[in-house]
Amino acid sequence: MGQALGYYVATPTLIGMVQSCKNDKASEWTPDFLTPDEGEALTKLVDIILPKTDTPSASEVQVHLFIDKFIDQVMEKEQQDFVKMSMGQFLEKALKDSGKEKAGDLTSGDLEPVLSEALKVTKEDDVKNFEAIEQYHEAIAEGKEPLLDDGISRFAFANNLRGLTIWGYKISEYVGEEVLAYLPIPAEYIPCEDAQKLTGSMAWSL
Amino acid sequence: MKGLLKDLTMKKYYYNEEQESYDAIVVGTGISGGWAAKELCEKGLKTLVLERGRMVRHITDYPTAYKDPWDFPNGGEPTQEDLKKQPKQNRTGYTTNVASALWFVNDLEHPYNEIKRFDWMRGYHVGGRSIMWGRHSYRWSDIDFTANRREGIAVDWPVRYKDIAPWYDKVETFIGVSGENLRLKQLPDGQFLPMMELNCVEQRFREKVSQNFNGRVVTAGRVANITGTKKFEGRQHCMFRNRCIRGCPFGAYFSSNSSTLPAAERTGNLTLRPDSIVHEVMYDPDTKRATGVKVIDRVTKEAHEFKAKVIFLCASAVASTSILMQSRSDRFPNGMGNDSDQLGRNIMDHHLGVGAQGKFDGLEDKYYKGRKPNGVYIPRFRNLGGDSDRKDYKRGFGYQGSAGRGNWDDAVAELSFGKDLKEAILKPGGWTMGIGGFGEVLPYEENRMTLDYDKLDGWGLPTVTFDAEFKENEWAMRKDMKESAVEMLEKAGLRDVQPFDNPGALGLGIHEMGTARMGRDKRTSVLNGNNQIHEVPNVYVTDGSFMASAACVNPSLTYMAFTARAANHAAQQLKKGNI
Repeated sequence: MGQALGYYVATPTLIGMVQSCKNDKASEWTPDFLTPDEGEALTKLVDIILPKTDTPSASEVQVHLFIDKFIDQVMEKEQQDFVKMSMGQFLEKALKDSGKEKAGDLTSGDLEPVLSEALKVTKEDDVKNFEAIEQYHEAIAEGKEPLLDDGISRFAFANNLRGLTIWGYKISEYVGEEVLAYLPIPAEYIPCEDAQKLTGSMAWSL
Repeated sequence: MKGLLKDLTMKKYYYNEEQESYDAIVVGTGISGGWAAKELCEKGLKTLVLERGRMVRHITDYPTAYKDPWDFPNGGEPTQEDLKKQPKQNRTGYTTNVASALWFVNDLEHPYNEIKRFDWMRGYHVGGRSIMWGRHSYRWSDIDFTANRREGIAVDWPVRYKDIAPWYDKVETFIGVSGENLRLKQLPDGQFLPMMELNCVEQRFREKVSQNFNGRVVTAGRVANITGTKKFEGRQHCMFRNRCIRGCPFGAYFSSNSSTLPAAERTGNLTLRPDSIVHEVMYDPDTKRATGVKVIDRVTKEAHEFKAKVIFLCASAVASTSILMQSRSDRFPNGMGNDSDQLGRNIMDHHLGVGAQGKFDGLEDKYYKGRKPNGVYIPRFRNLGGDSDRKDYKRGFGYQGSAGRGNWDDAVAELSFGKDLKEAILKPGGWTMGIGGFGEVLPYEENRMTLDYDKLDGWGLPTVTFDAEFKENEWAMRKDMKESAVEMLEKAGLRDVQPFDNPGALGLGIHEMGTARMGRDKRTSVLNGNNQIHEVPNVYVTDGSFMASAACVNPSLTYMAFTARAANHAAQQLKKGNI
């Protein structure tokens, strides 16, 4: 957009583009599974989890697209329902705390504290959380009323999202080839050597 | 140009034109079929090899061989749409990854019936499961060959190690197996290429197990991948990409496609016809010999008959047994060679999915280069006499496993999110190690497959019904497999050691066998010690069907050795005019 502004004269036909540029929307992407508002929030969340440093942020390597597509195509219906429910709980808290009404209006500043709180768990809580989540799924399987504490739902969403974000980031083409150590055909096996010598202490991408 | 197009679209026969009749017919092109083709062709027999599935040319037809995770949608995970076609194949949890799913059947096109759950994992194409196999190759010892007799279980093997040893030599030498000799009575030594070295943590595990468990050994897996400098026709050494299951463009691991079929082709005696579903062996009651096979073309559904002097059934245990069951006549109302009523019975496998994994602190500055398609192997250490004998179960188990860096749980928990987390997950991660056992399943007469003529497949053939399960001996063994795994990892200094125990069902080991067992007595077995059907000596069955017991080691090397031996026997018998 900035390039367009520098390149073209801002004629009336371009005013619409300039105005949309002034909005805070990170993208004009229409998700396959999530609602557009949820998609907005997802885009910001993945960048809170893996922000831009001297390497791209998660959204810069399309992790938000990857996750939405993954939920849509790979997950079973029950897993999709769980994502919807737990993400719903997460966004509800963010809206409540920020006083906003539309999830699409949530900023990174609104989302970060909710993420932070959701992921702050002790090792004991971690175990309890997973037990509760397992019971929730068992209840569904048995046709019973499934119940899950709101806080644990938010944890479940945040934790799942973080896992998918990390995985999606590391298997993106840019990160796999340019950031991590990329060696498609090693041709030999060296069983035990200094990491610094082999990869500059970066992980192999493959 | 027109002729070339015709050739590509109409081509049914490869390497030679269709013949009037053949010296030999081989059914199946997998681990055993490829060897039968090679040996029979090399003995000068004009051999027709029939494969029910599509053609697969070495290298040209490995579409996923070079793909990276970002080259697949969803990182290679199958979609729900994909899984609608492979719900049973997906029970393995890994074969249906997009990189390898093309090698496994469409379950909707190839249904089967389960009285009890049975996981039947296979693919139908030239090369069979020799394309997707795990490549672990271990010899049997006389402890295995004599087990049935010593314990009064099922029937005695009609052979002993000394009968098979020269054929193990021949096979290992031809296919290339990497490994080290250990001078263990329960795991005979072999003809090995240099073993794949153990990484830092695997090496440590090997030392600790040796120190803490008297007589127990940790070695590298003996895998059929080329290492070292020995030359193999048309093949190159392993490039350590760990993508074997996709088909190897370097031919670095053994498959029919890279190794035995080219050898057969080089003799000029091979005719290969893919898309050929063999459904019956034809029998002449006057000569008391098989005369050939009946085929339905997979694509056109046309019927064909092919004649030969000797038939090798190498379609895999369930498939070869099905063919025999479908070969009914006045002489053999219950299927060819089934006077004993053992055809379809005694189905075995290896049970697996039990072991442990843990985390290793330390060696943070160490890493490996290359993706080794292999790890450690722990040979059987139970029921070998003396202190090793157990009261709670018979036979034994081995383990496969590996160590690697790739655990970021602790970093994730501590750093939560943000730039510090990002930095951490781009580093190698913590060391972990896991081992999983492969346990022997006993032969039970009541564990069986039958054919259902009321449920026919798309070619009008009966579907297979499985009625088989794990029993007491297997469950008791698994308890020890789990506990021993935990014990070994803990003694090696790993922490947070977690056991796992997911038995799945029979079949999940993808080593199904035993459905046309060999034996000394034709009243209790289908085949003799030369893999011939007792009553039809010009039919040899050399895939997993022939196994009278299962041992605990991956069986493919044994199938190959018995096949080479049987093929050479058949060639001799033909020359002498005995069959």
